Amino acid sequence: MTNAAPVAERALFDAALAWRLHPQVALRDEAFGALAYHYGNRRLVFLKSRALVELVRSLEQYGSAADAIDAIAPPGEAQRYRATLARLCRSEVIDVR
Amino acid sequence: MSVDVPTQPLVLKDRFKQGLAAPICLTWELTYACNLACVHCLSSSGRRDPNELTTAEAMGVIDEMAALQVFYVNVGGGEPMVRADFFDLLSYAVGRKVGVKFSTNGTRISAPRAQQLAAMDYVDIQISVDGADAPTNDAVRGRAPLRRRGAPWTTSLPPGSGSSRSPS
Repeated sequence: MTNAAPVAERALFDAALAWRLHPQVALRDEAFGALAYHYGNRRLVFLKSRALVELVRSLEQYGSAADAIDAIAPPGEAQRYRATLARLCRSEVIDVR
Repeated sequence: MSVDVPTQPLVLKDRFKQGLAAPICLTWELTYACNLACVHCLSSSGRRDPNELTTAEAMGVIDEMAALQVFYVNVGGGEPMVRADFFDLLSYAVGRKVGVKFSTNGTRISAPRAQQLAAMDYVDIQISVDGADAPTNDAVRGRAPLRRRGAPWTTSLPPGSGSSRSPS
């Protein structure tokens, strides 16, 4: 037994939805990208590219994560950025608007 | 004369070698004053250092941490809660999104203070206890903190305030 929430209660990433940087997360720019610190769950996450940081910061301006990825991810990298956003969703760096 | 050397983009492991823009967290011994006399005290605490920072100076340090985006500060001492401005500094830091994790002997956590602390975001508390009963604890910590004062935090921290126990 673990204390993890049932799968149905966990946020699942859906690129068709509108997302944003979680309001309890602070982003701090770094040479490699940015550090994200979640003041609620106290997690520290490394965002390891500038484009990813721009994508996360820009999510709020797009109607869907897919639109944001199309606009910002380098050519041919859309699938990788989508997978990364799914991971950031699981660690609550981003949440649905 | 200067020569422009074309810069190669750094791979991630080399970027990490250059360090971060600022610390992720800092450790701050807010005071050396302490109301106990633990046999194992690492910082030889007890008396207040006459040169310790004033409230205004301490707030200035917090301002610097906020400007650097230091995410949180580990506060210890001494016993940080013996500073008369402890709650002012705590609120000041949290208000500037500098989270506070502080270490305390718990003797200054009255029931109302426990409620106040449990209601604050960005605050984590570590209470040091050196035994499961008062004679064991008090022999190590000096001045009989459990036998004389009890430990209001054991009953005052509300359910769901996220308490956990680990040796320290």
